[in-house]
Amino acid sequence: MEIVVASGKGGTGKTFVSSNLTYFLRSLGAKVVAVDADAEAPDLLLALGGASENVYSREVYRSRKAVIDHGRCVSCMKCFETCRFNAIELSNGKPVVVEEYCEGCGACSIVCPSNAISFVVKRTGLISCDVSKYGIKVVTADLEVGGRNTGELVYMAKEEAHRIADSEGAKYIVVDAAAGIGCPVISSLAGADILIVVVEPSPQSLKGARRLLEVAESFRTRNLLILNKYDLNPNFSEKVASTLGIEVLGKIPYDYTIVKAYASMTPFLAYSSGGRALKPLVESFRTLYEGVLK
Amino acid sequence: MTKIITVAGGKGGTGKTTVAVNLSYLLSKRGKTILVDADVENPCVPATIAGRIVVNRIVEVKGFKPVFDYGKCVKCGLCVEKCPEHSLTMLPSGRIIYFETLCSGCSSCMLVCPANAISEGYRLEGLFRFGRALDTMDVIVGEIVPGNRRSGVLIARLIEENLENFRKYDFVVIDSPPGTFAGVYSTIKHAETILAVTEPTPLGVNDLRKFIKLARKYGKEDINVVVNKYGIPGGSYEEIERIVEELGLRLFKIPYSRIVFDSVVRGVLVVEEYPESDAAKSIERLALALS
Ligand code: SF4
Ligand code: SF4
Ligand code: SF4
Ligand code: SF4
Repeated sequence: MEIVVASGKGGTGKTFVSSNLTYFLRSLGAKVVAVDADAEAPDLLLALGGASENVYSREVYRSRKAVIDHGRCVSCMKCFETCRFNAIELSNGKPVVVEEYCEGCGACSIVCPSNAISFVVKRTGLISCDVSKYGIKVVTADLEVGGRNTGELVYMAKEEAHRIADSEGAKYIVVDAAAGIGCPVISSLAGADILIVVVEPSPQSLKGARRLLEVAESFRTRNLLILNKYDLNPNFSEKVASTLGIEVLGKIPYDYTIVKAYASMTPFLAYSSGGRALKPLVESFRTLYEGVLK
Repeated sequence: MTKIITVAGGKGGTGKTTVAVNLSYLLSKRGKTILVDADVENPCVPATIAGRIVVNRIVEVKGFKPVFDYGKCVKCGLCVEKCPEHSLTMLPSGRIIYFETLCSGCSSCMLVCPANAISEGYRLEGLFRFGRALDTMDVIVGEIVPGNRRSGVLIARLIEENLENFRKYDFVVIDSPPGTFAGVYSTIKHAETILAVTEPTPLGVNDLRKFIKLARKYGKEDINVVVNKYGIPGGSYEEIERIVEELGLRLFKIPYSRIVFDSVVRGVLVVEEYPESDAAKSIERLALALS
């Protein structure tokens, strides 16, 4: 069973929820594999106490980029006119490829009259599997800075997690999604069973969550809501819940202990000896487990 | 001389938009300013100023989409073969099926078709809203159509297609999306000054490192680390000081306060509503240092 934790807006507490949910399931004795699908800023392993063992890391080279052979180029500018992605710029009258923008689509090479364009494959990122301090396997997608193809990397990380889950008999896969509603988030949603939307009581977060649910619609996930820091603005929290209209799993109050737990790189549930958020968080996870996961 | 300032920083929810909006408001008193909301997946500038934007132009950003003329198609299968996204497939009957959600809009299919059976169609990728914010500055808000996977392409267009326009201003403040992907590259590509907004947690520091790696990869020198929520207990202050010192960056601190969160939620500017607060003063110092 694949559980995705996402939010639309960043910084609402996705990693907080996913790391603690993973820890919670683990402490119930359930087998669980975690996936860090926030490939541009992967933090899940840190939130789960850091790595105690690196099982493997695999470089991924999948990003196709155009290269222009200026010896052959006759400066006809056809490639420049054809590229739909701003990936060809002119420099002293010569076309040059902006690698970061290049999708490797091949359109330029189709129109080039002098066969001056070929392709190379560049680094997309890294997929690694580590055992966290708490004995949880975490598969991390880590995108090359300035890279594209984030969604592909996320698919690979999820595939990897399913492989591990199958071989170890793990029932649950928890996916910590990226901020936003773009490519990596869509890949996180594809194939997922449950989507946990983490919001905070702000109009920005509400808007992000609405856009996320719009994207999630075609994936038919079961959608659940966690109202994080709800007491910072209780009225607006109510508004968020009623506007989104999805099942509320729990309301978590703002709690300084959470920051302290992060600072010591310990999941809040393992750290806290009784912060305000502890009980509500455990309750929500229990509701999830009893009512949905079991 | 135009100065392009990009507000970015890796981790989401650290306060990029808050900094961008307050900063551009202050800069708009010193020179002609435009604020660009480039977080197209979840543009937050409008909510952060409670909608105080007068929109005077909306540009529909269109991407390519193939339109098939089955009467002309000779069933050669070249389009299927050349489609880099596998968004085309041929049924046993020879009919081409198109999956729009996979399509990047590259137009390769149209270019290889020997029978002129594919023509240029359009689909909406996003919107650029042009207007005036808070009566003091111009603004562009980019927003992608939900479900579209190529926010990087839209952001590149938002920046590259408006670059000429930017040269008319003294200050261009770009509110970047979180992360470190190609879309973030677009927002820093032309910037003289980078603000890396972070929060003092191990996760914030981790993401800050990755972001600085990106900025330095592209030769950015004027990188300023802005630590938001400064003062929260148990924060990773030494870590941040170390990074800043090691790499010779400038450090700015915005003290943690309820006022900031409340302002964000209410859609008011800290520097406008609470000019005497420590948070407002810290952003004033930032504006002064940048102008
Ligand atoms: S491969 Fe595609 S994206 Fe890259 S330069 Fe050529 S046309 Fe542009
Ligand atoms: S299409 Fe080929 S020949 Fe023409 S400018 Fe581009 S690389 Fe040069
Ligand atoms: S435009 Fe490009 S991605 Fe879309 S169908 Fe044609 S070849 Fe495939
Ligand atoms: S390339 Fe043109 S003619 Fe060939 S199958 Fe595709 S649409 Fe038909």
